Amino acid sequence: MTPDILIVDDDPDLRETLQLLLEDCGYHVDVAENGRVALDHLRADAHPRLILLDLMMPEMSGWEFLDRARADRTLSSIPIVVMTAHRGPSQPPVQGQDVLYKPFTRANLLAAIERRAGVTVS
Amino acid sequence: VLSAEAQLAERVLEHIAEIGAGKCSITDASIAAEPDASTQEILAGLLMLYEDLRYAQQRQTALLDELREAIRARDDFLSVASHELRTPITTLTLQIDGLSRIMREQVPPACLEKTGRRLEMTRRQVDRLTSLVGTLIDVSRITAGKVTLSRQRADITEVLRSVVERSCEDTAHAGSALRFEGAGPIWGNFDVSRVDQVLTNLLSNAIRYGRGKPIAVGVVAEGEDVRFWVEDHGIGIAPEHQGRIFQRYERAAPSTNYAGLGLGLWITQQLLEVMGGRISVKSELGVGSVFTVELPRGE
Repeated sequence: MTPDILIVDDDPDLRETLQLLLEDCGYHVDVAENGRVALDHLRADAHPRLILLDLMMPEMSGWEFLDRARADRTLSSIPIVVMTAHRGPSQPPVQGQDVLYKPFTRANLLAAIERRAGVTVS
Repeated sequence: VLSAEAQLAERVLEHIAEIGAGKCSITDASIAAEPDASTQEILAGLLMLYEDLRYAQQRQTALLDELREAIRARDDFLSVASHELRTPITTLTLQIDGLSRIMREQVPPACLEKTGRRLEMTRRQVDRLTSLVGTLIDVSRITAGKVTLSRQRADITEVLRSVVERSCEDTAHAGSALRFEGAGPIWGNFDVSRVDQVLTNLLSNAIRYGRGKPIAVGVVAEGEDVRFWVEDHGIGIAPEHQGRIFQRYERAAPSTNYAGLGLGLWITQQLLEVMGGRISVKSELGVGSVFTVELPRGE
């Protein structure tokens, strides 16, 4: 089944929490624990309608994933919502992306997803 | 013609002036070339003094470097730790949201009251953690000089009124009546969330130290500026403490009686400085306090 949302996060509890929450809302969800695994999924499977991306991850960070996704014509059109604890100028830029600042609530999350992908709860 | 003693005294004074300026022309060779033994001894003593002084200066520079490095490490740690805490708090927040939803739909009413209360308490504690972590992040940002403002055209009366409305429950819980005095809209370019934070901080102090007496929040426009204040009738602050309450980790009330990090007013004052504003206090022990904020409207 084509996933609606791909969650990319190295924290297993947060990843599962997000997955359960979004599946409860009726989304089909795929998960990956870092940028590299996410790229593998994207190359092998059908593309999701949106990617929910953490930034600080081992192996391949969210920043590197963003660079790769932007450079790849087949991936650059997938909307991405970035999740980060950092706010302000000290963080590396995530321009052109929707950003969810941790800690966020269920309502923040669903609003960001709907805004970015125009996906509404089915 | 000067006597030999006077000549020696003059040379010694010159060397001392030289050493004071961080230089020294005395060397082992120049000492050895002196014909007189007591002159040799005096010059050797001066050279030793110079070397001791230089060593002390090097040591001081090294200690300063170490100190700067330790402060940088502390600030880095504070920044990393406070950000690191946000991920588990996110998971907790979302899990509590999820649990509340499940409970509303599936838990039998008999069980709902007990579990609901517990869940509500858990949520309050997570909110408290969130706010403590927010404080740490603010400290880290202020210390690093990285506070950024996002100003927008806004009616500050409305911003303040919404904070007051949000605080009504906490004030009522503390037994205080809360009144808001704001005539009409006062428009300007404000960082709305920082203004919100400033009033929230001041109100939480007024509630904490307010002894359940009435609290008033007011706002007026004053030319290019806007002035707002929080007045309580609580424990008050002794004159000798009024100067230091805006400093980091300082608090007038004993920390053994009142919880908190002692950072609220420091953060408030620092944020206002970034916004081009200022804060002052008028207080009398046992009578109450008025904290007044002046802020440019930036139009």
